[in-house]
Amino acid sequence: MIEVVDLRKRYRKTTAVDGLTFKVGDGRITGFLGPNGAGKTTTLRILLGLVHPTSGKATIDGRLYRRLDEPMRRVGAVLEATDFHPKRSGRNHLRTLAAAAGVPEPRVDELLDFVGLGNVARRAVGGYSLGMCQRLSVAGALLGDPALLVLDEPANGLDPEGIRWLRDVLRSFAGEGKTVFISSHVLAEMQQLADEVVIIHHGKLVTHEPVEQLTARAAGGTRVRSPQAELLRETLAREGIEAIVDGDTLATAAPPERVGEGAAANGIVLHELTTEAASLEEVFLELTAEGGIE
Amino acid sequence: MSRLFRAELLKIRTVRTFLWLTLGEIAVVLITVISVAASAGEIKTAEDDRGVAQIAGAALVLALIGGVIVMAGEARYGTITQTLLVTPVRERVLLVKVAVAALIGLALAVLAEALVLLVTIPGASLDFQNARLVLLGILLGAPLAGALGVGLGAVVHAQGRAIGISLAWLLIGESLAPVISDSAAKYTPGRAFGALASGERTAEDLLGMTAGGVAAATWAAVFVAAGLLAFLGRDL
Repeated sequence: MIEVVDLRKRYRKTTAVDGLTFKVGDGRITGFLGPNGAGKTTTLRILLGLVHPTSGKATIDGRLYRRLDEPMRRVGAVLEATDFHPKRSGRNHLRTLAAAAGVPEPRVDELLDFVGLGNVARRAVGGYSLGMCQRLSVAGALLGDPALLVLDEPANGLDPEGIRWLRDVLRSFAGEGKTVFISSHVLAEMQQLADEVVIIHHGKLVTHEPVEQLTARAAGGTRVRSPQAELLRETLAREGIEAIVDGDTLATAAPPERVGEGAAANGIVLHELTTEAASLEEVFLELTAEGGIE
Repeated sequence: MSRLFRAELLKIRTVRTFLWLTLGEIAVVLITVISVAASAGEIKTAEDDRGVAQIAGAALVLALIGGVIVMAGEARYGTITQTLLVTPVRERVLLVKVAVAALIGLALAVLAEALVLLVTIPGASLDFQNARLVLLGILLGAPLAGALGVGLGAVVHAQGRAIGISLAWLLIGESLAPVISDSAAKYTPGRAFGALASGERTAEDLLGMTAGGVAAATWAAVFVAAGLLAFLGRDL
């Protein structure tokens, strides 16, 4: 379990993380969202022991990263996709990590094939595209067969096929009951992938809840298709519910229970009654708009 | 610890930086020693023997640069984050890098001395007995210089800047030191290592070989300690 408790990080005059507290449970895919400069990368780097917090703490299974035994076998991390020696081959990069972590060398070739870099494994990383570097980062993260993956913008530089590949990798990883904590700007992707999201802004927690709950709660509207849409609008208006009709479609901010009950009580035929869920992107923009956070 | 040591050696073997460093040393030592041997003819005095053997002292400078690269090279390419994700205990990482840099220093010293001896014993009648203390001093000094380089690389963090500072100190700082204090100048890093590689038990403008060795080891320890403090406190 990842636990962040009252975490703060100040760089001279800038506060990157400001009293952040949240927990990420095991066996779930948790998205970590926030605008640029929200403090996501700083938080992840504190979690991984690369940045020192000003106060508070971030732990994995109740321990600081540097206190973990065999950290690579517990946590796999994908950070900057450019953190490679340009003259070293992808295979040799992984071999150095494997040697330090005590991972057998055949695992290196196995992972290079898995991430689709088997045919360029002996080429210097300087000749790799950003997407190939991301794949190499993912291979490095999986080297120790960890139970937790921490990823900072892993979709950067990936083409649509690469993004789909990454989604499949992470889903398959989580399908084994393992945990993924992933920061990303690709909100549509996160909506498809994540079970829950932690949203931060200006270093503070905005919300932490399941994606479905967040999008449904943020919208709270209902869309109805009915051959008697105008009659339904008049019925709802008598109950103080405003609605807009467009042909046979009616849209209202009222919850579906009230609309359905109103229609049934007046014998109005419905062909469709659905909750209008907002996209994660809409919710995210609403929650992180300037002045939108207490 | 041994896993990390093997990984650090693998890092060195899988890029060409240290190959270039070695080739650079071979070129510098061979050109110098051949030109000295050719121009001086026979080496006649014990002082001549020591002077020729000191050509292998190039290994001290190259070991220093090697140490800087071992540490700051990782910062330059960002690979230090990967290193710390596998081994998050920074003290351990730095100490292993010190050991690796010391080993590189020793290897560079052995190579430089072998080149000097191979050319000068048959070509210019170098007396090994007269040169042996110089050679011993270089063998002891190069690992210390490598360790000092790691400390400097950890303090300065930027590889190019750290190498620039080292060379500027050796070329300019060491020359200016006697102007500030003649007696204190004997204890500067360059002169301490110079004394260790002098092969002389006492000298006028340098410490004796033993005292020079102690001063060089102290400088290496100070830089490693400062590097450790900087490395422990740095956000990456």
